[in-house]
Amino acid sequence: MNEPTHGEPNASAPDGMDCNEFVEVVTDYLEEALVRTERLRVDAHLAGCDGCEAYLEQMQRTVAMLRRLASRDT
Amino acid sequence: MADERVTAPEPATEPGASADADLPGARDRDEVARLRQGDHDAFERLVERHGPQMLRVAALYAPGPLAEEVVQDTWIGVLQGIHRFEGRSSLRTWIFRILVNIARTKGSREHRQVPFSAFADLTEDAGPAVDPSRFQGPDGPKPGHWISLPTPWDEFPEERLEANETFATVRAAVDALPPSQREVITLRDIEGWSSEEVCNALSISATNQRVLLHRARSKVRRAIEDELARSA
Repeated sequence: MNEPTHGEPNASAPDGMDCNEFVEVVTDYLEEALVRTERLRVDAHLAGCDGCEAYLEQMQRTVAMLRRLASRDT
Repeated sequence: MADERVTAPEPATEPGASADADLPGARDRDEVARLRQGDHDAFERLVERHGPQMLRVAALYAPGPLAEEVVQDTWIGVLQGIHRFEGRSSLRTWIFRILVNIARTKGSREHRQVPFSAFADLTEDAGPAVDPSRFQGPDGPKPGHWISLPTPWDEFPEERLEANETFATVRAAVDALPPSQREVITLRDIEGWSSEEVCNALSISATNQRVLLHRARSKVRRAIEDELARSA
């Protein structure tokens, strides 16, 4: 098991983002529906969190796998 | 087999409808003109292009032969309503809007289901995207952060990600979703519609669409994660 790395000193600053918040805004982030300040908070968090970086990759891969169901189902 | 129940809805009037790319498209205008003239070939081409996808979407609401009936009724509705089509949404969006209306009516009538309610899904199914036990509690060194990090899926061999079992897991996870979430994720991610098209066809706001999409995607992701962990 990797040691969690939450890097960035300001990741836990008052306006920083925790991982359990990131997983709830990830869709808005991917849909580009966040206001600029929120988007910057996500970017800052992602820059210092390998776990959420991996989570983001999993969500993107989930979408890609769903897209391919259409051709596999028929 | 004219069916009086089938009425084409008015074209969408939401602001989002006009955000569709290059609308009203030249191909749409040409096609609508041909359909209005009763051009049989134009109709055949339309059926060929949209038929398979219409069947998949209809099956969301009405299984098996009922889905085919829904598609048939939709084409009747399209032919009856084409004179009222104003090109404020794409032809495809308009057709699928008719399809969803018919499928919802038929699906709930034949199966005595409670009609789909995005409202119920939005209010009653608000669980977290990730099991809270995966995050550190208030006494942890970093409250709210991962206890153990998610594994990047690109670390798995490609054949595992491509395995039939993995795709069967995705399919089963979608099928197990509450109806509104299943609708949204099917149209957006499986069928590849834009968010505008989905909001339009389902008559939901962009915000509600994102909430439903988020819950649906989060559950499917979790199912894949569990499957990959199980077969690791």
